[in-house]
Amino acid sequence: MADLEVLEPLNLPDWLNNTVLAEDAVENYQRALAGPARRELWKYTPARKIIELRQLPATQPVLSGHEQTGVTVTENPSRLDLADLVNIQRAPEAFAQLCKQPLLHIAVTADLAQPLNLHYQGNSWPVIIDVAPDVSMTLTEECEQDHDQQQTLWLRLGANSAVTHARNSFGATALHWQFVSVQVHASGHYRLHNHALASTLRRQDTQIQLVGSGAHAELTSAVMVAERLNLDQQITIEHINPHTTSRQRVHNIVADRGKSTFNGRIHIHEGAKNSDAQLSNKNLGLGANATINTKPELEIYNDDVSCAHGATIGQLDDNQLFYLCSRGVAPAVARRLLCEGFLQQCVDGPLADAAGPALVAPLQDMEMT
Amino acid sequence: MSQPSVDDLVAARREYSAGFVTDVEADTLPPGLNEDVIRFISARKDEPEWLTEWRLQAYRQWQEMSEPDWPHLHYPKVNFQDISYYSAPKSQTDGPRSLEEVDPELLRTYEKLGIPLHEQAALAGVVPDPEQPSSNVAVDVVFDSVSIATTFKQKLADAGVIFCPISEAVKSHPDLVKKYLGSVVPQKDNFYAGLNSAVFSDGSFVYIPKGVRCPMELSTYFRINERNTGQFERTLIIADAGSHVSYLEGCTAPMRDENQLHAAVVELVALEDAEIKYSTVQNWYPGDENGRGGIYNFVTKRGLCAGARAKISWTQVETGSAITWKYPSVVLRGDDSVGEFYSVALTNNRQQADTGTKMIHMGKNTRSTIVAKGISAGRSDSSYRGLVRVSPTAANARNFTQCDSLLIGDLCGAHTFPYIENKNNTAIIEHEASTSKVSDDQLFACQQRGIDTEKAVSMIVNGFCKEVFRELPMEFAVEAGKLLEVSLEGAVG
Amino acid sequence: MSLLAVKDLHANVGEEDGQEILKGLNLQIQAGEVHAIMGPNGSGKSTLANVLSGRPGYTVTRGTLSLANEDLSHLEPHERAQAGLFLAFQYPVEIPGVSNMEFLKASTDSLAKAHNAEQPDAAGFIRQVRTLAESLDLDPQFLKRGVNEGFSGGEKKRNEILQLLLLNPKMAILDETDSGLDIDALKVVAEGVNRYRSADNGVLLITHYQRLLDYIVPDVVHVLADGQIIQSGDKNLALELEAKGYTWLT
Repeated sequence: MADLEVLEPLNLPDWLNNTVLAEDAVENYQRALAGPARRELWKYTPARKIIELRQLPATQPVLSGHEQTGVTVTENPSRLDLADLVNIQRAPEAFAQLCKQPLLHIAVTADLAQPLNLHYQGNSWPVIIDVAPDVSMTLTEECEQDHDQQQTLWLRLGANSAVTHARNSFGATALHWQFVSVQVHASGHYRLHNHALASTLRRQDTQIQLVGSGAHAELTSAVMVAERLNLDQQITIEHINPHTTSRQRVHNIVADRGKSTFNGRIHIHEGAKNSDAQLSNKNLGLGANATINTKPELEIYNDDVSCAHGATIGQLDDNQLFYLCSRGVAPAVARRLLCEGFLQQCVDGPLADAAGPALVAPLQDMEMT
Repeated sequence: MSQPSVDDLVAARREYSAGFVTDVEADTLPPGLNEDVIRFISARKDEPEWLTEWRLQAYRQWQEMSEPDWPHLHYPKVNFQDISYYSAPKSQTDGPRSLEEVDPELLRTYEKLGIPLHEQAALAGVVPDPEQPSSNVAVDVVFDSVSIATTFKQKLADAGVIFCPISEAVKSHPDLVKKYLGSVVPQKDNFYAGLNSAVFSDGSFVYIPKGVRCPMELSTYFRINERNTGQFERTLIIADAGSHVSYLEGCTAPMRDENQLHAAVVELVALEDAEIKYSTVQNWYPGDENGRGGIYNFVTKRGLCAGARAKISWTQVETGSAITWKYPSVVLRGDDSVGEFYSVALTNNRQQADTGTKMIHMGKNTRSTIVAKGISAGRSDSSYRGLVRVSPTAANARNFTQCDSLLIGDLCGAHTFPYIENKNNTAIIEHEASTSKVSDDQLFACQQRGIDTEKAVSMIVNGFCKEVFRELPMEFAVEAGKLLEVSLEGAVG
Repeated sequence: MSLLAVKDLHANVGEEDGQEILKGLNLQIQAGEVHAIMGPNGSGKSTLANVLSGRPGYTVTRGTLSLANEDLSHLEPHERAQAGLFLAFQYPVEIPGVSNMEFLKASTDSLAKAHNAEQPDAAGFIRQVRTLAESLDLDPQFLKRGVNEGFSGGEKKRNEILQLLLLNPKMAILDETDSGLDIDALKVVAEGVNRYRSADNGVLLITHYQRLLDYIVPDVVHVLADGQIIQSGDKNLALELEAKGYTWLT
């Protein structure tokens, strides 16, 4: 992997100094860059272009819903303790962002009636959102299409909090890197609805740690990779404590000469007894030269768990196709309907209305033979 | 009186019945690896110049390579200069003999292991029935670096089948060896294959002529005996068009406190309409309950379905070795070719395994089936690593993969790393994996019906492995079941 | 002119060299008639339904089949539907992700287009579908769910009848519609079929049990055995079969 060159050296920012995170930060960072885990993460995607995105000038995202009571926004806080939220080993590139750019910190301490919306203008400041215990809220993310850009988001869910997070990522010509790291404390409930179109290269890194007993995470992802475009999803869910549960449903459609990479890693730590993790990844290939890579991983260190995953690559179901045709629907129309249905199964949440049409739009122009 | 719970049983000791050492004088090279050692090995085996050069070329390339760091394994670095690369019992230094000429001490070794070397006997102690041709198994016996005997050679020769040590085949059938050696696993393929290509000791060579169904099962039995040596067997099996062969591989080693290295290469070539069935029941010494000693098993096994409608099946039961790194694979080049992989991998105490398979679909209408069952107990760690790759030319490829892990106890690990890389949209690929445990509820249900805990666990585990055991040739199926029981003794927890 | 005319139909499962299942089947159904086909397992009942509807996986080796004088043999399944043929499936498939409403709309729009008729307006269409749903004891909420998703066997069959009434074809083939239904569900289904019946359309009931025919009274009953119709009669033939079994005839 020649283009996985080591990133430029770290300059630790002021807010990081004298925090636990600063200890061994540089050493951890160097080690993370060189290890086999990082090579695995970039196995199917040329890393250099994505990593270079960090050089672009960054702006704050445009916020809405932040005027609600209970939301405190701080630009460039002078001191932040992120030791338990940030793990350098797992995310060296995202950590480098934290060190390099100004930060936006948002604390949410009361239930929010309206969604908190982040609208990225392009390359963005890292955003850290602290959701206090017992708070429930909705978070939505959208980005300007057709800008090369990258965003890093760190979410900390306090005990018994509930966050519904929806993210629409459209625009076909950009290079786009999206990093989300979520930490869910005891009995916290996190739900992510990811709707994305592939672009020249769109890379989504999602890391979820279920650190408190009873924490739960749910993820649905509907992805449409149109002709010659590329989308790489790297998702890790770690069950660290007992009685944690996770559910993932990822549906990808890949058109001719498109490329989809999916890595869904479930890591059950030794102490996570009585955990339950399920993952289903279905991939539909249209067109002769679609590339579909999928690797659902299980890393399990406790026997008292229930884990299952399934991944399939296939075509449309013949019986379903015949059912539609027998009702007079022409085959090409029937195929399009079934493809749309396939994506719709994973479209949900507060941004679903905008997502549905955007995701199926490329299907209109496709020849469905 | 209370029944022992699953946790209580983890304390009991496990017995490795093959752990004895055979007392024979051996001719052993001092430890170290350099070009002279390679020339020595080659000269000892009286090899032709081209093969010596082939080894040296592999060695030079190996020196540029580095050990893979991606497997899910943790072990102290191997010092390749600290191993002896050749050892042979003094009585056998003139090459393989007929049974009458074999050192009786060696024969006793195999008898103790349950491998009687009479011409009527079957492997693994199954009572032979003279009426049943299938109970005759031809055996090539390898002790450290040399093959010491091959049975049934005449009977096989009558059918046109060549089954002999590779050291012999190099001299008697050089054209075949030259053509196929390294054709499926090239010298540069990976670090351990490179090492093996330089220093390989002995192994079996099999050639089945066109249209011939090999009249009996063939097998090679590997025994490591001498300390501080490595075992580098090399096996090459060629099934010509329309032929069929079933091959069994067995292995054991003595109990020692130091680790010993086993880096083998097995190459299979199946031409048009041919079928090769390769079964392994691996019982290398796994180390003691503290992880001391045990074999490091780094093996490259690959089959090439070179012709249309060829079929290669790998079936393995792995219960031994301290560290296992092996991925028996099939390259499905011929149209309509079929690859199968059935595996049970058991790890206990402090064993670690990173094992699986690769199915590479290249021709049209190719099919592969993977059924991998992992059982982890004690403080062991077992990973399934698989690759299903469908190339753009592989129209209508079909793959079905089922990986299941059974965890016994909360100190072990079971992992699944399945890589699926698809570049042809007519493929249908299905992968499923699940994890379960032997629960106290299940055990209680058995106990309530009068079945003791160890038997209950054995039943549950056997049921878990049923699909794989079904694929083993009869002789091995019996051995496998017993091996699993023994391996789980005391680890049940 | 017969509404449905099947003459000397021979069909294999699979390709040309596959096993022959229909071995010279003859059937004429006039407009306004209800015919029932009964027969033992393996006689070819499902094959007949599949071949008439054009399901892939079968090859017609000889014979003709036409609907209102239009030759169906070269028409694709959706074209046969557009020509006025409807098949109620024995095992209706589930299509998660495609809502029942979307599915019905796509179907009616396709048929309207094929007949150069006007697409029904959305509001009117929804009203029509809801009314039909209620008449068949189906909670209209199902319209938002995936096609047949989470439906019991009985609900799936009623959904088939809803489609029958909505699409109003010339010829309806009901493939073992009664299998797996209890008496109440059966009555609802029968009532729906009887509502559909008119002097201008036809019904072919493929059934194993006589019981359905108490509720949907046939004009003609045929016995299918070993790929051919071996006996035809009026509704009393069904009663005789019930009493004596199929071996009485074969």
